[in-house]
Amino acid sequence: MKIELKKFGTVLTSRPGGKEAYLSARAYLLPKDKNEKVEIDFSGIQVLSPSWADEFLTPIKNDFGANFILLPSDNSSVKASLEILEQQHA
Amino acid sequence: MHTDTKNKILAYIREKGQTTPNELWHFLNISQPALYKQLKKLLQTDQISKIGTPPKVKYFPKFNMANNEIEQKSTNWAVTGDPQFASTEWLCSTRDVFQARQERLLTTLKNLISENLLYLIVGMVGEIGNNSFDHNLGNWRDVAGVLFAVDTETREIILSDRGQGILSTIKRVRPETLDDQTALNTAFTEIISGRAPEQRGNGLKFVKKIIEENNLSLQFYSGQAAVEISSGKFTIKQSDKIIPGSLAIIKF
Repeated sequence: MKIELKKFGTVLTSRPGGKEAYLSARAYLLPKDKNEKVEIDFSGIQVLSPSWADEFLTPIKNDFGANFILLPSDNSSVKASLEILEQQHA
Repeated sequence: MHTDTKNKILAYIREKGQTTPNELWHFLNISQPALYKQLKKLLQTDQISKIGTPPKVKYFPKFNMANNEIEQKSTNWAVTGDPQFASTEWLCSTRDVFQARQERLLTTLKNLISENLLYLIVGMVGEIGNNSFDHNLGNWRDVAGVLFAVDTETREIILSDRGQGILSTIKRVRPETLDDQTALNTAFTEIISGRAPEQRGNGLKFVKKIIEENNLSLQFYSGQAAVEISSGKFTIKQSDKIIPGSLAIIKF
């Protein structure tokens, strides 16, 4: 399934916001079957910060492992935030 | 003689960050009328500021060297927490207010910088401001929230809080950290969180990366230390001012 982040807002920066979004996604959006593919779509996002991304993406990545896929994005803040998260989890 | 006493008073207040008349009196060993005469002169010449009424009076160094009013006022607010220095529209007492003002920044800066840089700057502002709330919620020194000022003419963004400061935050996970410079270095260069065991602590690394890669400049003060990033060069030094919480000045 594809998760469109813009449905949570276009400026995604705070940790509490990211955590709340994850809890909502877990309850209503994410597949129960952990073998199902989860694609994260960044289109329409203006600003993403590493804090929001960490609270939202990291637990989904932990749950879905290899089935967790980040779709490509040209947005500068998305790219910079994902780079920082990669360093954090390296 | 008088100039010497005045300079001694000024040096003492700058060194301590804040002081009471009683402390000064013991330090200088001069008569109280002489002390108050010098303090009055320093207040009149705008070199110090005074907060409170007797018997609870404190004197603070005043910073007038900044070349614009917004930076001067924000710095004095960061040092004292005195509302006279902060316009009400700069103060974001809750995260919701901060978030709304952060989103407004997209419109404010839209015609000044490229779209790519705009999104990076707004993300960076979000990290700094939200960090203040993350680490100080329920634990502010006096004023709750974040000061958030933008000057499109001087191309500056200033964020400050009256929280516990970076050293206090870092010490929670690194008790061996003894000074502000070490704490700032850790905060800007290592992935570590003052809210361990939560997995977090990448905000200021993100800020450093954006500033360095986009030829912006940052001065970040906490305690008696300052980080400066300019022309891609990262330095940490002793600060001439004592900022109990934090103060960030971004130039774009």
